[in-house]
Amino acid sequence: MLKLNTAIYLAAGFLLLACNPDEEPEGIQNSKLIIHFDPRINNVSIQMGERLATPLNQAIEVSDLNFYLSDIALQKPNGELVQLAEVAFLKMRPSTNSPGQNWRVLEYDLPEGSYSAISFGLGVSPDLNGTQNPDFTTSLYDINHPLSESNGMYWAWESGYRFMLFEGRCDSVWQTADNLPMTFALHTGRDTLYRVLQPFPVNISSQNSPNNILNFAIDIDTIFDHEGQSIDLASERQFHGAYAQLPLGIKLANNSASAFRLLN
Amino acid sequence: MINFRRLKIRGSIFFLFPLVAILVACAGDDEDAECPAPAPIGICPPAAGAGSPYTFEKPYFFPAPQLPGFNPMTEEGVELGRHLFWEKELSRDLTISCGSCHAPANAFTDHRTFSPGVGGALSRRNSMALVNLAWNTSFFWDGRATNLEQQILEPVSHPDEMDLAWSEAVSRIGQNATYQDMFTQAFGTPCVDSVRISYAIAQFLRTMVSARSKFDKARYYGEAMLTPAEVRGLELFLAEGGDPSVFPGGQSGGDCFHCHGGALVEFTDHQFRNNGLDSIIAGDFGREEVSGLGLDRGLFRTPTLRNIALTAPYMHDGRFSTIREVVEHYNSGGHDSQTLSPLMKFPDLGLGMSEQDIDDLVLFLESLTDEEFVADDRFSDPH
Repeated sequence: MLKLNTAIYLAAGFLLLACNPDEEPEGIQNSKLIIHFDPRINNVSIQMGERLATPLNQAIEVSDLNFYLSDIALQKPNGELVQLAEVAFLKMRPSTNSPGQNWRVLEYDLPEGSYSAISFGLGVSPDLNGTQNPDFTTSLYDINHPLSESNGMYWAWESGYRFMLFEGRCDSVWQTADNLPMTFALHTGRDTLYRVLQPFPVNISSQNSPNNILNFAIDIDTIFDHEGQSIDLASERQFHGAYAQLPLGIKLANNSASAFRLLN
Repeated sequence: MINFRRLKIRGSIFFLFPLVAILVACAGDDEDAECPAPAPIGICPPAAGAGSPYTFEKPYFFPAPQLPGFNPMTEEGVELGRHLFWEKELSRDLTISCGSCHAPANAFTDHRTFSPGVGGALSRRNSMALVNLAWNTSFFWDGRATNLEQQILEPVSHPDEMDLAWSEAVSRIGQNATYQDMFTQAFGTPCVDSVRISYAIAQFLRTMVSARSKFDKARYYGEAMLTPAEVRGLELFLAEGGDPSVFPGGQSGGDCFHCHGGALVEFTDHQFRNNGLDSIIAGDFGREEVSGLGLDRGLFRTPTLRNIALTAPYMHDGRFSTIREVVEHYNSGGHDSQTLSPLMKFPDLGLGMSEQDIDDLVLFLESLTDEEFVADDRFSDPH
């Protein structure tokens, strides 16, 4: 038994070294910032595929909600911005291919300090979207990068990436029948539809806790209706960046930017 | 009285705990991490690459590939993988190899609706083309494997395919003196197990890069020109579907780019879709069989369109014999169902493309054939 235990300890020690070649000395641990995103309607969490009603009382079942956030930054009380990430990709549909990865969550090492706000833009910032860069190519980004073509969000030609992909089934009225008769696919894109959100006040510090958690709601009802700008699924079920439909795109981008709400 | 027997067990669990905790911590890391690979348990020492590092030739317009750190490519590993890919000893009755269903002349498919395995049993789904796998994020039509090494473990022992127990496969290969030498060169020792076999074949498959089609030569290398009809087909490929006078945003196009890669590089978005083959989905639930999600019923992996002219028949069930039939299916709008991709915008209505549009679109798709790739001797049967 002694020999077995010795062997186990030796193996454990070897693995420890192999797994953590750059581990910091004991007693020093980085603080984390963990950001959760939760799609809701009427402030209740939704399941993908669940039958829901929009503010216009139209029936929907959301199958996919993917989006990019850009320039994710924390703001210090003195106004200084500390960038956490240039861009991040999130999707609300459960994924079985990457069980170790929760696509609804972002996690960052929290730089030392105290912070009073968090800010980000909805979409891919013009700097990264590539539409102004004649040398842009998706080959810049490997498969693990948020901007990888393998995320299925690149549009090519002049509009760059899809900023938000919002898809599902719907009807123009509320109904409880088993099947909804129509589909919707609302995709923002183009630099003109990138939206920088108002900073969200927070009170987090690297000194307070090893894990600082922020929970954001994404209010689906707000995507469909905000300040009188409603999306009517009777006639507005498809948007893919066409100039002819830009008023719908602007409404979609504005409403979506307003749909993010910090819960804590 | 002290129960030494119980103490001993508790002590063992206590001593094991740190090891288990470390292994769990490692398992969550990505493939580039320096932790041990999350691979099936084998009997050989870890398959660290021996021999000469293989220089992966990435086409300049492709992104960095997915080359897992746990299975570094070597010249010797690739060559071993090639031999194993074509090895009929890996089938129960010595009649088929991986290459039997993935022949180079057919862009590594077999031109059959379903592939016959040992004893004539048919595969459940159409044989997928093997091309540019180094960039894939999932494998099989339903994506049930998340890396090539995992994918390769299945066909050998599958009763409808090669139907050979892995223990027997390992025994056969291990008794072959040539393979003993090749395993030594590739992995440092002659030891053979299923892990090493899958690693070697995965290394070989990752070398199968196709990026020299007529389209590539025109767009990326300046070595060819597309015909006016092919250019028009490309424009239709990139255009939204629908008559703009009826459907806002419509561009009277083929609406192909949404799923087959608007970047014109990989020609797949690596996602899973229901492309409207049936209004009632029965028998094969596709992605749902992996995820358990009703939302995934009838969804299948978007295949690349590279070499598509060589990979008939088409779809997961091989129902279409020609590219034209495929395009006509999309032009018909497909059949509605509760999981139909919303990108199939006109179910039962159709895109409204003309016969000329279809002809031109087919010509463009045929320009994605890479003749150099399918004739490449590096992929041929070495036996």
